[in-house]
Amino acid sequence: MKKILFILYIIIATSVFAHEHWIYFNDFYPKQKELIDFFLCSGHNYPESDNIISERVIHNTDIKTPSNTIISYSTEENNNCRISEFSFNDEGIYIISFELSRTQEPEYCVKSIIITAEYNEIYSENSYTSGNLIEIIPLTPLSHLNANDEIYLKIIYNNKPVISNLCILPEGERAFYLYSNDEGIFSFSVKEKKYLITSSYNGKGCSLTFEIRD
Amino acid sequence: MIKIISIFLLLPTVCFSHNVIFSIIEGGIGLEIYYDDIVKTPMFYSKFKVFSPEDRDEIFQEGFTDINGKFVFFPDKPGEWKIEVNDGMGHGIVTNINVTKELNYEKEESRNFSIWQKIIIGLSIILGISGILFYISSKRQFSKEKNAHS
Repeated sequence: MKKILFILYIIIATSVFAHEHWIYFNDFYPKQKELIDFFLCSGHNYPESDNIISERVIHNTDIKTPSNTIISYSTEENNNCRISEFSFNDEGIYIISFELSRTQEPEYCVKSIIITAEYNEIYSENSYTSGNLIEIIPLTPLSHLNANDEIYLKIIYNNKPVISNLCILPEGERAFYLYSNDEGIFSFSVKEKKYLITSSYNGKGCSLTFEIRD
Repeated sequence: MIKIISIFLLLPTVCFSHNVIFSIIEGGIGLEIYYDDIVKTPMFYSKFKVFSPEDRDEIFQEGFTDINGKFVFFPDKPGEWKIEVNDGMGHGIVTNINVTKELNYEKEESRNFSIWQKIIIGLSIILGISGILFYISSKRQFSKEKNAHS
């Protein structure tokens, strides 16, 4: 009896309830100048992508480099997702993002944080921002985090912090839910390496993927 | 004389040009597509494809739903027409529509449940299964206690 309930709970908790979108890297700490594939995923079963996002709804496919230069990337279909590649030539933090929209206004903002392997991070909030309408920003330097450390993040909409419900999905573990406070801040203890965090506000969705170097 | 030559020179250009006119037609079959959330949101600017009963490979019509998630098509033969609508972000619907000999939509009893009906059905199933499991478990416990007493 307890076993059945536990199995049901695990199945429900490990699924993403809403249809979410995210960027996935096999390694979020790539070596400099190495050409890396990354994936634009969509579906209910992070990290597995269920379907291919249509090219016509993808906009602002941007990579923000450590020197704040914006580089566009193109994508192509690959199995159940879209794929792209990039060589992280400079040392530092890169923000990979894209937006989904059918009109002028974005409906969903997707962001991923990449830190080059040898980079000794000095925290700066600006290095973690993409400038999208809605985004989740780490307030803790990701590459310095170890297992069981508390990570602090904030969610902003139109550059203002918002109270929102957040779904935290550690890779391979069950999801849990948090609320941000009136300063948009929320925190949790990191147990796994890779995370997908999703939220929505005012009908606009967003996601963030990152990895703990550990 | 010059006037006559000018008219002759203009003639070929008149022959090749043509006007475009339009007429307003009524009827057709209109569909309204929306996300089945608690608040029904129109599936706006989503790509749709219509396939005729005779040819499922060749697209009869394609386009985008309007800002209210609606579109209209004009079937030219009776039968089962296939409709596909996709928002490009992972949500979509594939359905068949029966068209009568009069090229009207053949109304069917709706087989779709509303979100509230789905919630009630889901809760009923969960409670039902839980009830059966608790009944079995309590019965086992009762028989264990009975055996212990005897």
